[in-house]
Amino acid sequence: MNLKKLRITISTTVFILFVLAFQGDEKISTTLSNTLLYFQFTPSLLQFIHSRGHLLGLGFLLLLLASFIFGRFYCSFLCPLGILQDIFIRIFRGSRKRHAFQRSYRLVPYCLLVLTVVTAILGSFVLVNLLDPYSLFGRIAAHPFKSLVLWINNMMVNVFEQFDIYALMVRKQHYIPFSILTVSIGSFGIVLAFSIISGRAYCNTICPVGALLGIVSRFSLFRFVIDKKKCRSCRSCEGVCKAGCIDIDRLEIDPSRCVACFNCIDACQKTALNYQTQLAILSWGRWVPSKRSFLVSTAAVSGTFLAALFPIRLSPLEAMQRRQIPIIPPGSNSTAHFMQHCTACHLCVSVCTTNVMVPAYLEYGVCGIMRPKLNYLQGHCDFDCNACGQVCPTGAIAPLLLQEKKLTQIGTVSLNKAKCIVYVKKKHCGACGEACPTHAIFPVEKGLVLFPEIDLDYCIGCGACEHACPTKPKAITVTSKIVHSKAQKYVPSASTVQPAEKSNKGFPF
Amino acid sequence: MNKLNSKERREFLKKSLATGVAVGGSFLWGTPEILFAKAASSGTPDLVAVKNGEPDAMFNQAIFMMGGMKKFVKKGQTVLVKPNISFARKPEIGATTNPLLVKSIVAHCFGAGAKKVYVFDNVASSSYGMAQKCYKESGIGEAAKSAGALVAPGDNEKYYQKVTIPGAKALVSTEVHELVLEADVFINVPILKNHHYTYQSIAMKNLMGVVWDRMKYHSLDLEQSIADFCLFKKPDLNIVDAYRVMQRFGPRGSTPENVALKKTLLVSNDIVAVDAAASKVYGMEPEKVRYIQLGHDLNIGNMNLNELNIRRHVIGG
Repeated sequence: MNLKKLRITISTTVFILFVLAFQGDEKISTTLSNTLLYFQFTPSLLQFIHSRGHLLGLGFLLLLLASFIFGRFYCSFLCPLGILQDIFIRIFRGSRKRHAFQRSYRLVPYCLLVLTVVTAILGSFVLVNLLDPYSLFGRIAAHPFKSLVLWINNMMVNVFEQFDIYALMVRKQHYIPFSILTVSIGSFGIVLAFSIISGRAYCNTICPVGALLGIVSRFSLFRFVIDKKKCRSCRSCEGVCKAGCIDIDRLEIDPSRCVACFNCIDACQKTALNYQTQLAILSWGRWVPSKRSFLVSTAAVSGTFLAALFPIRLSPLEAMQRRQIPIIPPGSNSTAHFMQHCTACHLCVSVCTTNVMVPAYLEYGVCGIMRPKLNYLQGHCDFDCNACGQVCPTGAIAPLLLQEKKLTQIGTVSLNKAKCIVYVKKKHCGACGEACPTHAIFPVEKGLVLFPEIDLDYCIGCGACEHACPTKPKAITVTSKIVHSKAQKYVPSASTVQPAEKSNKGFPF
Repeated sequence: MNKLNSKERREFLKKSLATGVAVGGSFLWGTPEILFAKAASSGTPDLVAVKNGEPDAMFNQAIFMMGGMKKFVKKGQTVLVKPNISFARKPEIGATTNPLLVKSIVAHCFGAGAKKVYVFDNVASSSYGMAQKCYKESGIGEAAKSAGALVAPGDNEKYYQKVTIPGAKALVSTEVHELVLEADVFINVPILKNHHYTYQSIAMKNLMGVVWDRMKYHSLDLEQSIADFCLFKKPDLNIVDAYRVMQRFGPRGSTPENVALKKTLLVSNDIVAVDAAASKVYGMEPEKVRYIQLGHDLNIGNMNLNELNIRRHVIGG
């Protein structure tokens, strides 16, 4: 069996599924989230840490175990960002431009890894959100990719409508702040540049998941080994190695940088390259402690720790006023819970049926960069929908049953009677009341005018009223709840409705 | 503006031509009475009320009493059927028009020789994505399609054209769905239901679903705007579904327990009269519903039911 072809088949399928997952179809995304995202490193790791024993955390354990056996296969088979780079390499480098052995800059990825982990432990997800490969890919798929797909869809709608075909519907782009678009397209550009210039160098110098799996892979059971007797040093394998980890001069392959793409085995004509079991030869000894490298290492490590403390101090959530704190989706439990989990992959943003979920940039502080929030100017949180919790791979938005979700208070409503049309003009409006799904807004009749009043016990903060309110600025607004709570279920007073009027056969006119 | 002018001109030419042919044709045929049928008291009723049947059976009876669908829909015409699909709720809640009734109306339109029948509503919830959900959950999308109608979208501003309403007191201009402007026949199919803030939602209120910015009504003067819109366009036929009548918690509704089974259907080409009659079916005097009174005052229709030629029928009674 050709392992390279197997890798290409699997990774292409995985990539297509990933792009599909971010196209916003609730059913597809939920299914893929429960299968494909099970094996995404960072989301699964977060589940493992925060809710031990959770099934999703198991994915992380399996990945770690598999890496001890097979090496960094995750980077070639499962990582969407890795596969995206492979596609770029294939398109822009083809087979003409050959790869070459690259020096290892071990210090950079390891320092970044330590920095990422330490900042995360201290409570700032800034590096996790920026660097996690799955989340990084998610933002590319959810914003530029999805926009393109929607644009094509809407063009087709225009054409079909000329022929009275209404099979497709105009789909509206969710709101993307310019800052978020810049970050997604910027990271897309960086990854593109890295892959064109030096193959998988991004994965081996910046990606913290790559660095961690690299450490594990140093001890992996299966690895690529060059048979020194058979090898003629033709450099065929070096030329196809995207990771640049084959050192033909020493006839060695660096297992910590190898992404297990199987290109080298395919390229070797002398079958001198094998993927086989071999116990790790610990080569720590090669490190010669010169004065210079000692100084560099010390500076890097201490700089890492100092830098780790820095982002926490930048606009922490506690310092914010209550009105400024963004509203988080139902299932995210509390702002504290949300801050510890979300990696800003924006899968929830792409799947939100009413487009109420929008990516915020720095509204959660630097610690929670790019996390999503509910924006009631864009839409409202649909009463009969729990899609975001169903798709969230990190557990930041826990999956709620629909009946639970319908009673989850994510915010508190308040009516400013000085701005409300009914109170100001004494004319009927009812825009908020007819949108309210929970009977939290009810009419009170005073002198033939129906005034809206609020009962907070029933309000879940879905924002239907705020979105509907016709005044500018809004007379009825929702503020976030730091800790979500449970609303009372509305029980209508005894029904005064007459049953079927079988006896009455006449008309009232 | 230019586009609209040319459209109006074309429309006028078409209509005058059609009228001319109809008048000439009927004289040739030797039955000019049909043109003056309305004057005769035994002729077309102003309002037909049917009771105690299933939605489709009641409609069959009612349209027969109105003189048949052929009176309203001519061969080769395009028809717009506008039900109330404003909420993503099941028919049992009584928040949306009965799908069986919509299906039956579409079938009758085709039976009368309609070329195309469109069905759409700009749903009450303005958040993106809700329209699809409403079409699906209400069962109307499926029902209309099964009868051969084109279920058109109403959730994008590109389908709407700005119009001015001469004589309006509040709603001087608004954006109207192009199908309302283009269709030859406009059939309004509201459901009678409770409304927290206007007391009732019936035929006039249902026309809020053909404009793009319904919040403009709310911010100007809700009831005056509802009446004003009828100055721009009066439906050719109003068919009020009072099969299940939501009695409380309108317009969104609560549970099926808050619905009264009235099994009634009202048909009229007078939108004010049909609202007044429906209001009585609900159990409220029409004078209390402000937009009915305003509509009457603007001479859109007649709310004094005793001045009208009403024909009633109780199925099996």
